Amino acid sequence: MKKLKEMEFFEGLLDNPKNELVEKALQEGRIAIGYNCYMVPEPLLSMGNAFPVRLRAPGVGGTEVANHYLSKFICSYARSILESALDGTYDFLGGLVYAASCSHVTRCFQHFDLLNINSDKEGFFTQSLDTPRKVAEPGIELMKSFLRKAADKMSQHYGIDTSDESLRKAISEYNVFNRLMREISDLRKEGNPRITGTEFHTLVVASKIAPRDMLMEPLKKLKAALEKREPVKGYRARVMVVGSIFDNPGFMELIEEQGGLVVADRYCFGSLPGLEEIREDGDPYEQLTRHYLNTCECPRMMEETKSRLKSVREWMQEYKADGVIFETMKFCDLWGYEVLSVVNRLRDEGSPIVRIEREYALTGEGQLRTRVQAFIELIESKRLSKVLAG
Amino acid sequence: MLKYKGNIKDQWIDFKYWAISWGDILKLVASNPYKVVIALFKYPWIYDLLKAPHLAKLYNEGRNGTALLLSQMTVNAVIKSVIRLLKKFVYDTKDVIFAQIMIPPQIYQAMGLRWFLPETPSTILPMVDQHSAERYMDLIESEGLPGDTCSYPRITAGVYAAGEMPKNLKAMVACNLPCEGGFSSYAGIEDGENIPTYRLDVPNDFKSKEGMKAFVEDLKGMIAFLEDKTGHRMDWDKLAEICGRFNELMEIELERWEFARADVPVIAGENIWLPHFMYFNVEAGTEESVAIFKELHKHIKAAYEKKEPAVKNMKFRAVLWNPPTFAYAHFWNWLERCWGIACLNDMETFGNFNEFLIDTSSHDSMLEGLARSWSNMTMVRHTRGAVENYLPQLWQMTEMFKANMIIVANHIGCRSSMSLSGVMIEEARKRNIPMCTFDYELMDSRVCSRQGIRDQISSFMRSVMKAEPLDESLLVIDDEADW
Amino acid sequence: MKGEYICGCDVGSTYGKAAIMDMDGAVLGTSIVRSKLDPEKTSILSVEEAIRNCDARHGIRGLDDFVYLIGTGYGRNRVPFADENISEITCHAMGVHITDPRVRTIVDIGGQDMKGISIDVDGSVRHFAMNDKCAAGTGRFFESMIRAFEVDFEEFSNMSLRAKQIVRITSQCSVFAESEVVSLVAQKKDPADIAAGIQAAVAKRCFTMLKSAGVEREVTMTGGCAKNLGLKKALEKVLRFDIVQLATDPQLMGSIGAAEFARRKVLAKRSVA
Repeated sequence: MKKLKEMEFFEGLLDNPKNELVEKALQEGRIAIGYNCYMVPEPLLSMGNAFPVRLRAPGVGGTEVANHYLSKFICSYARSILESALDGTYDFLGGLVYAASCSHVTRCFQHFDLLNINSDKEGFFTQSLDTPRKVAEPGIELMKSFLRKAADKMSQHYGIDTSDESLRKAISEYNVFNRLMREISDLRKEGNPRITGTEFHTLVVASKIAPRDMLMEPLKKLKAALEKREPVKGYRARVMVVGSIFDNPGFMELIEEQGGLVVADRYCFGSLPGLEEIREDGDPYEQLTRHYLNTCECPRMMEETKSRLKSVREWMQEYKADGVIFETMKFCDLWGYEVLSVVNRLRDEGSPIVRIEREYALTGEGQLRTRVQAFIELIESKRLSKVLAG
Repeated sequence: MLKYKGNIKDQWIDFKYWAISWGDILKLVASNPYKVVIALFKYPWIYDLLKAPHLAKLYNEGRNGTALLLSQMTVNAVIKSVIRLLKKFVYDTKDVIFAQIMIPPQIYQAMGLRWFLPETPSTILPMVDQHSAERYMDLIESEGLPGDTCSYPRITAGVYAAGEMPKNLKAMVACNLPCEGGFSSYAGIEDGENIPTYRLDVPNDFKSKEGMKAFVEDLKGMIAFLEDKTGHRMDWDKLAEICGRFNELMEIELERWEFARADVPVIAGENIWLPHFMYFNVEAGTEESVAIFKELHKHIKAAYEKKEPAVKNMKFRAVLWNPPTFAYAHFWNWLERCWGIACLNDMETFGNFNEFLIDTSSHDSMLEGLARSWSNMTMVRHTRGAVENYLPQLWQMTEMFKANMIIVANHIGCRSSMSLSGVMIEEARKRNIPMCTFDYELMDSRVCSRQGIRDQISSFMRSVMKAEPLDESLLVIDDEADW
Repeated sequence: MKGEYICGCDVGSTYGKAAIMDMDGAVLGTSIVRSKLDPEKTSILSVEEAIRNCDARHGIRGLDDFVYLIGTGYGRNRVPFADENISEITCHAMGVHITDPRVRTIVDIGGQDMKGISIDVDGSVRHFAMNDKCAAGTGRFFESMIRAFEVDFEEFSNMSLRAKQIVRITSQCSVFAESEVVSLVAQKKDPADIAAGIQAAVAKRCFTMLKSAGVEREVTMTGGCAKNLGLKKALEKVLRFDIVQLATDPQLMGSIGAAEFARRKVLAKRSVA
């Protein structure tokens, strides 16, 4: 299938956290605020001339220095981020707002203060968000207070307007962008999609690492090109990927090279969740809090195990996925336990599902290919059995 | 094999408490032989608990005097506590709730509830027999749980998966303490039992006003949930009484520390850790907790009067950081006898408890006091939230107990503590405090055997502390197959 | 269809295997050759050897005589003459299924990985679990053990059967396990007892792998290490039931499965046409 030239623009943004759009924005005097997790509301960091940059560590191989601080027994995403931070990769950030998503990530980002990363940069601040693990009123009030703390720092350090009006505006712009993304996302629901999983993944990642307002026009052009495009051919199965941090299109390419077209992306840096409308009425801090708590699909939300399983089933139907690739990062406790509830349950119900444990960096490609290929073959043989039985 | 050392009085102490412990166990059986035997079939891990009297032998190899007496008393008290826990569910499971270990039990005590602690086998089994919980870990791993998760919740999940927990309980209360592994392991129980569940969500930032407010509101929610599901109501007067006991315990505890930090420490090792672990956590607030503390304290004071050292050949004063080695429960004994190391306090025990006496004047103040004390509990204050929770107290404790070395038990399954190991080592070097870190797995001695632990510590003692062992025969012990 | 042949080529890290079949499913010739560094060379050598092992009356002389050839194994992407490649998991399942349809669970121990495969009644894969990140318990591990004992594979395989007790190997890593064995031998521990300890440790790993994939009788072993009788006995002890011994060399299951898939592909194409 012919590659779209409109995609090249987005692909080019992924190689370096300080990509061309970030550079341009910084030159215009805008403030890049780093963040780590879905639980950090992007509109919060988009007020005034600020823009959010979700932290990635493309190209990080070894994490020797991070291993010393965090130990080898911590998730490789956390170690890769710290390694990159110590290499000065994020020196362009004006601030860092991080959610206490899990122990690995929380400790990783605490090292920004411990090791004085970026502390010599004028105005740089860090703010943690003590994000709740269930949707309940005491926690909602707490999270709101932390969002306001983060906003106060943005205002104090950079004079950013963090009034309710300003936040409502940011939410509205966020919703406009997401509407456009949803239209592209829905192409994957078609019987013969016109966009591959790798391409869509590239778009979603790009939307988190560059100012969204600068992506609107390129996105509209891409959408127009996609609408004229021929459907993707030659895939053997439609696959949903479920799991945690997944920000490297190289992984997606590996899956799709084996014949598995990725039609649904339920992982961090994915769109499920991520493209929903946020309510623009009422107290915007309250709306953000409730929205992110209610839509979070991370196993850190300790009361939502059943609901997450339900979501996977519903998305499989909605995107007509033949099977699920359940990818977990080595040493991840949250997703490790999720295997017991999601993987085993889906397997018992007869849904093809394979579990792949991986590292943050794309390593062990041979092993990954074997697993994915065997899984695709499994889906095909189940499909064949159904046909023969029918 | 127990080598009888010491005089006839010491041998009598050994025998007496062994007999009392077995007497307590037989009394449990005699109380309702039919139901207890049925329970043994339903919950086979109870068989392993029968090894508990042996733990006293392991703790007290080569010991005599007050240290021996305190340890024997404590183990017997722990056996009594475990029997009390068992009695809550072995006879019948009517009106029993599942209750996670990291929730203030003072609340269900005040509500007259009976509860089953799913962590009972996870906590006790590895202590009494290092291999007894392996079958549960293997089972849950074969169901797909990664083998690198912390063994503590892994065993809990494994015991449930084996079908060896009470069934048809009324409700469940769980909590996000101490960690993700902990709360994630309860998802299986909730799903499998299809049981109404309330989960406390304790903020990381429990020191802030907002964080504490959220915790207290959550506790109120939990009480309302239990009242609704069980029909039991909160007796606030009883809660005041229970909190009062906790305060009394804290005052005694602070005095115990004074005896540990003396120039001649009269209390050390598990005699500090085990009573604290049981009676500030597992059986917090009970009448028995105060009684045992008072009884122990009597003997500690007497030892202080006599200037009787806890560790006869003490060469090094140490503090232990991170939880102790559950699958090598008696490693305190080896530290003392092989290297003359007296552990005078540890992370699970230490805290600014004098700040956290519970104000029993109102409902809210009691809940806030409980919330504060539990936020500062074993594994909670240090392994969550701000880094300030973890490191400053280590230096404070080192100074307070005049330790000349720190022993860090690096449990590789504990994400929150392992991920601060780098800064901890650097800080220790800056402060010029010798720090012995050894890597192991909390409750799984297959990852690092007891000999592996000993080798790491011995290597440090020789190379860094330039010490020679007090007893060379203790450097290598063939105890891999032992309990 | 008479006189038409298909081939399956399994390029492993330690051995290359090939199986030649006729369109009725009869296996005509097989080979097991030591792998070269270059998987392409291994594939050529294994197929040539399999051709040589066929009865001359079939008249198979070269690659052109195959109507379809499927590559599998670690080097499956590097079989230049393959018409397609299929994962070794799927091929092992099929190979075992046509060799012994009673089998529902396979533990495959290859040169540097270990797999547990649960198969359906039609030979398709139901679930699988792999350990291909660590050589502990694989062919490489046994090679280092054999070095430490200074015996050959068959002798090592039989040694543990003479053990009076098991000397446990505590090292999880095969590199450290080798040093541990050397020191145990130096301590004059009975080599048979040490060998039993090694087999027990590997059997435990196999057991975990099998549990992840899902154990259902009958169970069999494939791969080169399946010929290790001591390991088989140790695994039977852990499983508490006997393991089925395959009538054909278990090391050939991948290549036989690949050949069978080739046969089915040809038949399917022809029935569509």
